[in-house]
Amino acid sequence: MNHVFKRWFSAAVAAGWVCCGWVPAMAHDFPVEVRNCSDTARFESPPQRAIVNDVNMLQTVLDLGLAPRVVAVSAIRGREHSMVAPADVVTGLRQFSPHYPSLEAVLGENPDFMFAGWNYGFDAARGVTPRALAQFGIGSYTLRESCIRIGPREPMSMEVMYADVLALGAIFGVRPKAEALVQSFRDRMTVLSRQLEGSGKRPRVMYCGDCSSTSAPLSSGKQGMPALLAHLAGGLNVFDDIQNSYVRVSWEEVVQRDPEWIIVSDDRIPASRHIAHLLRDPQLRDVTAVRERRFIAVSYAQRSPSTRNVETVERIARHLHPERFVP
Amino acid sequence: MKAPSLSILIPLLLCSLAGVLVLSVALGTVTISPHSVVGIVTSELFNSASPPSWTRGERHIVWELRAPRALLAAAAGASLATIGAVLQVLTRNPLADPYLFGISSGAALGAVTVILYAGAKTTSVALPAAAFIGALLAMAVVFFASRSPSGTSSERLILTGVAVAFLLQAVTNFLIFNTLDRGADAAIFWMLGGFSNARWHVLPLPVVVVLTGVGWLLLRARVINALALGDDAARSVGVDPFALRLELFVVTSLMTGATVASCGAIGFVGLILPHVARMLTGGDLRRLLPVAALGGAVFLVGVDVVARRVMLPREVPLGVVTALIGGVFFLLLMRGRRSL
Repeated sequence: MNHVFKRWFSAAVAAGWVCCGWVPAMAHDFPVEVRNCSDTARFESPPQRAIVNDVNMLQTVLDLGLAPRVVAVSAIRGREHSMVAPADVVTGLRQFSPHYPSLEAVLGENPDFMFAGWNYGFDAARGVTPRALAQFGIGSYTLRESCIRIGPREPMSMEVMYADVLALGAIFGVRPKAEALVQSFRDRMTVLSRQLEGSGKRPRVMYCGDCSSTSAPLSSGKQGMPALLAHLAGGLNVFDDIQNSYVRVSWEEVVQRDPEWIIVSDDRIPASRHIAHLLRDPQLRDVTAVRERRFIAVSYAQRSPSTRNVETVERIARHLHPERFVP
Repeated sequence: MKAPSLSILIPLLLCSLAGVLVLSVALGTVTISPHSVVGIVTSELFNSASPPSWTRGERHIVWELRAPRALLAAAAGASLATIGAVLQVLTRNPLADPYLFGISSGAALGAVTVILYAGAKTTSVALPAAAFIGALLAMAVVFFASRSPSGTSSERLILTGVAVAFLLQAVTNFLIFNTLDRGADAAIFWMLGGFSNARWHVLPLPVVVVLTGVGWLLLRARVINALALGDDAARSVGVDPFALRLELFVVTSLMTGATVASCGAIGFVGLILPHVARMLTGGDLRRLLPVAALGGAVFLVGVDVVARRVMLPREVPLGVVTALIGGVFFLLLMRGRRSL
């Protein structure tokens, strides 16, 4: 009797192990559906041959531990040094296109999934769109922030980036990891906002891209990610009255709005060159940030939606409100 | 130099066309072995069921992207060169090209509107459809604005077309400026022209319109010849120049619209190819048009191969290569001739 019970018991344990263990944890999650801009994307199984376009999206994918599922990446060349990942992971990635790829180049990789965004690789004129890919049996996910380029989306907030992490977690069958990551982000943001509570006046902050020459700089209106980062770090984006993301502004306006801090893009053109120009241009001499040499360099992945945004907010906050971070 | 006879030129051009079409399917930004390319094409054409030795991606590239792309390039080249040849006679202006009447600006406005405002709902059919509608609207505006009680002279037609082109361009540029972060790059890429959106299901419109149009113009070539001598000379041989001009305006506009709708505004072909063809055949449209059509097809398919291979893995915008190759070729050709 006892050994019969034992046998049943071990069978039940085995069944329980199979039901709740790793095998069905992947199988019974599928098919999954995620929001893909205004569409719903359905995945019958996790992608095995994913391609990822651009640095910020690759960063998120690597932080989710999905490098083994990535067959090739595009538009990373020259910015490998800014990726946060073990060196062998970055060098192990094959770049099939140094720029945003053509549809032919995408199909040439024989992928089953592509992660990109509108104006971050997806482009109706070149024919690389989620719908075109679907016609060839390739699934895709669109960077949520970029949905604004083709239609309405919710106002910019960290939730927009969290949505990407959770969607990728569902698509690749790594939900627990994605949820844990997002939870840690939420916790850190809560801690930060408590630390900044009552810090009084928000310093004026400007984002400065393409600032290495006298031609009009690229800044961020209220709907841009850099504006959000500045806001969450306890700053005030000087171009918040522009209801747009990246916009060209005039140097005159920069002088007029007198930012106290300048967030400088550190991308293909290094931050040092932007800063050198800002310090050299006589018309900027009286801008507070320039006079006080208050510059904060942010890489492409840090200022575009990615899993590196939270640490960037923390870093900017330490610059803007050092008094709140004394131990 | 004695003009070579059509019985030599036409077979020569047909062979060249077959040659560049094969190259266009075999070569692209992705390298696929010739064995696989031949296998994919034969299995698609003859529905053979042998187990494939190529990947699904390779099949998609060769059959779903490159094959329709090669055919679209041929149709566009033939269309643009034929239209250019006819318009140069129609307006008695050696600088006339298919974009003279603002048709391409209308198409660009249609396409850019879709790119900027339809977003994800943009299907590969919606883009050419919107561009074609834009082209038709531009044509209608030019048509009605250029009418006058005394009939439509070619100067009137050209000037109205230029005004409409500037007007529509201004609207397009404003849309792009106003939505800088919403696909302006895409809009500009489209305006430069290219074949990267060619698919089987977008082929019917341009191919049918272009073949019909080229056929129509060939049949009318003898009558159009009369216009080259001026309105009075045309009347003296029983051709009503005003009616003929409007007929040709409508036919070439429809062809331009269908071409621009499927591949954007590709410059230079419609301007230069007719002159090259004229150097070979002389001004008689009955000889000129078939040579211009085939020459345009060979040229564009060939240039598209170069554009895809010259800066791997990037595609150079087609307009850049057509202008470079076409310009150098034309300058060399001019140096070789005293007259003109």
